[in-house]
Amino acid sequence: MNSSSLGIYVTAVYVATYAVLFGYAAYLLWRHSEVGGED
Amino acid sequence: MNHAEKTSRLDSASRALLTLALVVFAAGQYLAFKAPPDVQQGYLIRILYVHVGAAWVAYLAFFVAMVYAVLYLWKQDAAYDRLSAASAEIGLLFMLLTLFGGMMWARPTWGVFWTWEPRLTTSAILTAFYVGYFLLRHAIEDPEFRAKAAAAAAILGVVNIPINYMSVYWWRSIHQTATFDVINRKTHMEGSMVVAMLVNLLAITLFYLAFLRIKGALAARAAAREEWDE
Repeated sequence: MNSSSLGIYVTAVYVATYAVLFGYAAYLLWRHSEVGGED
Repeated sequence: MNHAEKTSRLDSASRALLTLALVVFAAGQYLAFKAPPDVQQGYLIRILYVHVGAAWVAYLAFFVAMVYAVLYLWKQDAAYDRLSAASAEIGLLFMLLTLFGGMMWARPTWGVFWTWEPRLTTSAILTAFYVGYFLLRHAIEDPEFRAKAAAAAAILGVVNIPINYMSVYWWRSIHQTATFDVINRKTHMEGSMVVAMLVNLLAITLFYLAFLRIKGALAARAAAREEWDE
């Protein structure tokens, strides 16, 4: 398999990882701004 | 400081954890893309720099969920149940990411996205177990009974972790053995690859700790509001 087609799989994993890390962080920060954290 | 200001701002420890996670992750990503290609896997090795960290955090999160479950059963404090559920939620998220990363690695390596070999089968069981854990939580209305049942499930679920980790040794199949062999204390990777993997692993662990802290605080606030409404 050539390196350009391997790049698709590597890119997909990094996009998914960024989506989980930054997406979940953004979701938690949004929820926190909506309802607040522990006093 | 007024009440609204106090509650809408993230506490300093959570902010520090999130910032540190971002900085370490940026360094980890730089190292991952700077590391040389693997002799056999070529640049596909880059998948493993985040895949191993995600798998480790899934294990860690399920283990922490079990510890809080035990503490709940011991102390009967609902805060432990909330933290157990928060850790299990984050663990499930990282378990799904682990499965996705594994599938993206498997397709060019084995020719298929999925095969029912021991590591993948036990990973699917582990994921299904924690999906079941949340179905159980949603199915029970009584908070005390829900917390006890969930605690029992969280304790049972951890049994799957050593089986999943050891599956590559117990039933030799097509999946490669552990990247970090904790049994024989060795790794098959070159030095700069090990550093890239460990920095990414640390970064993802820091993200987990920040997520758990923020999610725990949110759950505490939601519980306090529910109590106030009643």
